[in-house]
Amino acid sequence: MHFLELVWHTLWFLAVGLHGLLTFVAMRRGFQRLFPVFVCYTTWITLEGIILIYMYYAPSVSGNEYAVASITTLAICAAARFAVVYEIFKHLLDRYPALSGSGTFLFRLVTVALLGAVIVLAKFSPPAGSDPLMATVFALQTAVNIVLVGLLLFVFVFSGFFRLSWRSHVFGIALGLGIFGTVSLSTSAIRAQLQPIVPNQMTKLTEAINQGTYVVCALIWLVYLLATERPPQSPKPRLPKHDLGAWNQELQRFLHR
Amino acid sequence: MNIAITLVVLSAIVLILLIRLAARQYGSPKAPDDPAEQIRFVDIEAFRNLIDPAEAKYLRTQLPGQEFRKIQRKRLHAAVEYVRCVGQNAALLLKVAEAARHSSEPATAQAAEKLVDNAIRVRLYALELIPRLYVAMLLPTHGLPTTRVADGYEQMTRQIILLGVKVPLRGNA
Repeated sequence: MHFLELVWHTLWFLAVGLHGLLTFVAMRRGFQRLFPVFVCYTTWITLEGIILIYMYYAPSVSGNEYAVASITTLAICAAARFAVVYEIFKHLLDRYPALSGSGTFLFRLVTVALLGAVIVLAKFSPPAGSDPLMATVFALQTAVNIVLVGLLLFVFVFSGFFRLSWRSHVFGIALGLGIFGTVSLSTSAIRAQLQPIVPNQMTKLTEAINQGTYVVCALIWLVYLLATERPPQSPKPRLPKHDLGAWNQELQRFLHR
Repeated sequence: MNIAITLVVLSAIVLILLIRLAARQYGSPKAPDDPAEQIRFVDIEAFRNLIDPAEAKYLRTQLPGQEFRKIQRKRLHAAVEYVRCVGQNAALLLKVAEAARHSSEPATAQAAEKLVDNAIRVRLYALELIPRLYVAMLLPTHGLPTTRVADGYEQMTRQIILLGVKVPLRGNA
């Protein structure tokens, strides 16, 4: 087996195993109640990993059958990732009711804008690989990743603008997904343009990078799920307590005028 | 292939940006050392004057068209600065309130909770108002800042101005 292929397969096994562990830890700690979509996503990644590994090695499964399964799982994963981003955003807004309406509106607006952008991009940059089917699949994956990364960037910029505070777990999920999205965007963009009919060094390298990213993400998520929630910092003693009340009283007075 | 290279470079930039944004945001909330020192003074009356429809109308009748447009643009520029200042004050108060939100004393936590809510609203209003002021700058004779902004958003501007009310009158506007 070629070195890159060996790395890719090792990382593939490791990624599936780590996602399985992640799902187990998440469920043990009751995260399915707090982050149902994320736990569903990690469960799905584990299951699809097991299925795809089996199909890859089973002699009874043809290359076409494997390709169909692979494309189907890619589509499901993409949808699940969007749902996770939305879950992250909802969690972020949960603590700020004043932002709920406008935040959701902006999120939708950004989604529509990003969809528009990828449609334009697809029009001006059609897939160009030697394998038209897979090149198209990777072009679609690129489009999906652009929207995903764009939405995550929006979430971070939005929370930065309003100085929203992140809970450790939500932050970890967002960070992991952001890393995954950007790396996956690079590899899918390359493969959409260079996808060969027969796997070569480039395909093996990008597969290895993708699996490596899955491993890194699973580790990030594990660390954040296992970590205890960051204790909030108490206000500085120099700030008199009554000041907050007074400021707020004034704010209320004007808001209701 | 060019598009692939562009996307690879872009995604690398976005990755760095995401990590930087994440690192910066995860460090907060940290209450500023002395919020009063950092809050910028906002002259409420001056701001009211800048977006006062009557004032704009008066200037329009007294000044030649070109002169009026020039002055009105300057006034709106100043109004934008005021709104920015108020937005920054709201952001600062948000930090203070966010940190105080977890106070062991219920009264402080409750006050902070309300302050977070209101400061966010003020920041949101500031976000909405600035583009409108810029539009008004482009069309100074169309009465946008006076009628639409002042009438429709008078309440909003009051909320924004408010942040400067209860803080020491020092610093720079």
